[in-house]
Parts: sequence; structure tokens; C-alpha cells
Amino acid sequence: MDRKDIITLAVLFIAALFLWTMPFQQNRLPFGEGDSAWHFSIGDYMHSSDRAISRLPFYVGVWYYNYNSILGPFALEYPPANHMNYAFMQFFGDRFVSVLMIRAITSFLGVFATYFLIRKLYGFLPAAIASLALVFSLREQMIYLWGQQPTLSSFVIIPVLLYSFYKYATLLFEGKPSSTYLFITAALIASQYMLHIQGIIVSLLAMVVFFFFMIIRHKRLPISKNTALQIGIVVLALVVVMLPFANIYLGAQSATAPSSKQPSRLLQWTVPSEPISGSFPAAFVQFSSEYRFWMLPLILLGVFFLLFRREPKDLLMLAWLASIYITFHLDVILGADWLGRIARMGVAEPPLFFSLMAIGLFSIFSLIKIPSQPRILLKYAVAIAVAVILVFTLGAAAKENLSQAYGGIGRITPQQLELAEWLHSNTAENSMIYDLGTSSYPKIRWLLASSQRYINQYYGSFVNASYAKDSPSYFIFDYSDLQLLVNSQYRDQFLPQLNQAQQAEQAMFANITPVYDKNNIRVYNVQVSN
Amino acid sequence: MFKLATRMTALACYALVLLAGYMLFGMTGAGVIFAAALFFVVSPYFILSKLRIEEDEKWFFSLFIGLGLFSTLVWAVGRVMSLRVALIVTVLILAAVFFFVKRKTA
Repeated sequence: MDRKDIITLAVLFIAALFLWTMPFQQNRLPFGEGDSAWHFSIGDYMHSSDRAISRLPFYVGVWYYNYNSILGPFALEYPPANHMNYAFMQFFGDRFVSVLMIRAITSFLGVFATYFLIRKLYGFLPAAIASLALVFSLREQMIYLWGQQPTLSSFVIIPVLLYSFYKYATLLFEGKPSSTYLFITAALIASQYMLHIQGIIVSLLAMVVFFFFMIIRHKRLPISKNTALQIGIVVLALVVVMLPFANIYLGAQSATAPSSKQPSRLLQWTVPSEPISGSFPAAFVQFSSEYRFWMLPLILLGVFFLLFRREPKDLLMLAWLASIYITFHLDVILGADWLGRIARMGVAEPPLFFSLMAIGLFSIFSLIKIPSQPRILLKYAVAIAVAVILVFTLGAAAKENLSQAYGGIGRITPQQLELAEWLHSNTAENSMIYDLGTSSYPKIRWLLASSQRYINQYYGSFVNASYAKDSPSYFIFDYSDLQLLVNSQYRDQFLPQLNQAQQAEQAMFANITPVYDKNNIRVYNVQVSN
Repeated sequence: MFKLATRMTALACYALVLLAGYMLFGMTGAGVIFAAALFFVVSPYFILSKLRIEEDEKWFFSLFIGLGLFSTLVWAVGRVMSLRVALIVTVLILAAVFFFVKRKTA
């Protein structure tokens, strides 16, 4: 790489930074679904307690109590890498903004991984176009906004990992094996594992398929005793590194029901939107939401070009394509009801498809006879034209999506943050706090994360579990959101909820002085008999 | 190693990126970008710098190895000391490895 690469990377980074931080440039309070608050909580606790924990604090451990069937209650539910990254950043700035920033940066790092892979294999212009398109990728943005960035961080590594394995495998088949690339591949696999195990599925499948393609191409299996020994050492090293955290993944409870295999799914590229509509909007899996229809012929042209040429680098891309197809059909292959998990792995697709689009676009120039100098000028002209189209199509859509994310009372308000700070200072760490009125589940979880106290929606009864027997209890009546909603176009929808909360407060706490009464939010001490 | 002109361009671009972070979020913005570069790129680069691979590969591999493994290493070190101290100690250990290997190969 040279100076134009460095400048391009810097431009891409700055563009991505401005775009992906739009959700919190004006409103610097945290946002996202329940997952985002959960992940924040763990890093935040490590930072505030100045400890590298191996057991979750009370207020986080109760959230998914006894989630891990092997390690028991309050066990870590992920390896610590992502949460440690959050904790580090909090040493360098604002409690929330620092974490939101690293969440954004680690979410868009796939742009640079893809740039690296395509630059090394196919050159500057395909890399620039593929990575520019990825800056605007809707699917990655959705996962980032919801707060499932740890999953995304695992997938962003894939292009770099594939490159490292490509270098190892091609040198091996050329009779010049390099243990350096083998160990780097292993280190990248370990890094992926520490972030989230899902990305490894695509990586390993792609490596196996690529190696298989190379065996067919070279008609031999170049594994000498020395190579076998090196691979054995690498596998052993990986086992040693991964083993301490294995039970975190193995003990995770997941409701995996057997499903009736639907062979017709094999004719679909990805997961249909209807069966996952409870967890994902249709736009998450639809081609037309992520791409534009003019990209499809270029993607297909890219695939045909790779199939026609079949150089080792082309075989790598085809292996990546095959691995994603297999991943998207694990429900059929393994017969498990995994459509939700598979849908989330849809973030594996855009780096590949945008790369294929770029490869297809510039493969056209190999089909037409033009003298060298005009060819270069024409390539750059086409690249600039496509870049402008990407900015005004995908870019405009991305800007709208990100700038409107979690607006207004879609995230906790300054008044709710003030409540959270009061709870942190005035209630015990093992408190059980019930909430009525806060307008959404994610916001209640962000109250939990901000206050470092366990807060959950009140569902009609108090928790009667062993972990709560010594816990002081509190009850929040949060009218701050409801008052705003009732005075808006949503009055009819939220007035019954407001009335219900007021009636509950009258019934449960008439003539009792709240311990907190500010900004239309009241908190009461509760005597719960367990 | 990159040529001098390339290194100067890289430093200038890094400064621009820091400035972008500062313009967006003040000292927090610049601080996070500085920290991310130090922990996820520079620290792992201490280990990869002497490998016989291309210079750009060293930097990119450093970033994506650091993302998952640097923090895990700090966590392991932090099991026996304060997290703040563990962070500094881990960076210093990696830097010490770099200078030790550099001296040995000089």
C-alpha cells in the first residue's frame, strides 16, 4: 500500500465516523435495544469498580438469571474482550460517549477489513468502491444501532482472516509454507472467538472450502510432517487460549427446537422475512433495502468472472460465497430452528457482495480492448461516477436512518438519567427496583445500566427468588414519558397506561411519602415479604 | 518499513482523524481514537513488527488481533491487579518485548 491508500483509508474513516456517530452527535445519551444496555453495563461496571471481573455484579446477573447451565448464576455470558474495550475507553472520556464511540468504530471496522482484502487481491479501485459502499451498509447499521455490536465485531474480522489464510495456503501449495501466516491466522481466529463465536462459523467454513478448492486445483494435499506439526502446535495453542472461556459458550441456554427441514429453503439465498418478523424488520433481510437493483448484475458478473478465471484469489472469494450460503442454510443442514440466529449472521453478506460488485464492475475492462492510458483514466472515471451514485443513494439512506435513530423519548431522557444517578447514590447495590410507566423495555434497561441497579418492568408481582431475599426493594412510577405521549398524537394509545399507573400508585402507596419525587417521577420504598 | 513519505502521510492522516474526533466530541472524541490506536494497533504491532511480512499486513493484522486479544490479555493481567494498572502494565510488557527483540536482532 502507498500514500493514496493511506489517504483513502483516512477519508473512509472520517466519513464513517461522521456518519455512524450521527445518533449521538446532538443527543449524547445512550441508545439501543436491551442488548446494548446489557453490554454497556458490564464494561461500565469493570471501569467503575476498576476490576477485571469473572462474575457479573448483582444488577446484571439477575437480568438473565442462571443463563449459564454449566457455570451457574452470575457467570460471564461472553468472553470479556468487548466489555473490556468499553471499560478502557471510559478512562479516556465521558462515560457514555466514549462507549458509544467505540461501539460505532468497532461496528464499521469491516470497511477497513474489506479494503485490505480487496486491495491486496484486486487492487485499489475495487477496494475503494467496495469499502465505500460498506460505509453505508444498512444491515451493519441496524445491528450497531440495536446494540449487538459484539456480534458485529466478530464478523468484521472475516476478510482479514481470510487473507491471512489465503497467504498461508497459497504459499503452502507453492511449496513455500509460512508458519508466520499460519500463526497469524490462528491469532485472528482467537480474536474472533474472544469477541463472539458466531463469526468463526463463516471463517472456518470459508477456510475449509478454500483449502478444498486448492486441493482440486493442485491435485494434491501438500501436508508434510513439518506442516502437520505446525498445524498441530497451532491447534493446541488455540485450544489453550479458548478453553478457559469454552463453558461461557457451551453453557449458554438457547431454545433450539428441532425444525422440520424445508429443502425448498435451499433455493432461497437467505432467510425469509416472515418467520423472523418478531425479531427483525423485513428491511434487514431484503435485498432491495441493503443494495440497489443495478448492483445485482454486477454482483453476478463478479461471480461469473471468478468462476471463469479461477485463480487462487478468485477461489478464495468463491469459498467465501459458499461459506455464506452454507451459513444461511444451517437450519436445513442441521435441522434446528435457527432462523433468528442465521438472520443475524446476515451481516456476513454485505462485505462479500459489495466486493463482488466491485470486482464485477472492473472486470468489464478486461473484456474490452482499450489502450493502457485511456483504460486507466476510464477506470478512474467509472469509479468516481459509481462513488457519487453510492453516496447519493446508499449514503443518503444511511444518513436518514442514522440521524433519526432513537430520537426524542426513544432513549432515556436527562430527567431519567438524573433518576438513575439518584438511585446509584441512594440505594444498595443489591436492590430490586420495579418500574411502571417508562415507555419501553430498552429504556428501562438503560435505567438499569445507568444506575448500576437492577430495574425491571413491574408485571403484577414482586420477585420471590432466593437472590432477592435480602434485597431492599423500590418502586418507580415514571410519568415523564407518559405525560409527553398523552399530550401528543398518541394520546389514545397511552392514556389507559397512564391511568393504570396512577391507579396502581394510589392502591399501593396512598399516604406514603416517596423517597424521590422529581420531574414527574416518584420512587417509593417497598416492603416485600419473601 | 514504509518509506518516509508514506510514514509522514500516515502521521498526518492520523492527526486529521484525531482532529475529526475532537471536532465531534471534544477531548472524549480525540481520547477514544488515541486509545483505540494505542491499544488495538500499536500494542499488538510491538509483537508483529519483526515478522517477515509486508508492512501494511503488520498494521492490519495488529488491529484485528488487538481488537479481541489485547483486551483479553489485559483482563487476564487485571485478575491480579487494578484494571487501570493492568492496562498500563500490558502495554509496557508488549513494548518491552518489542525493544528486547529489536535489540536482539540489531
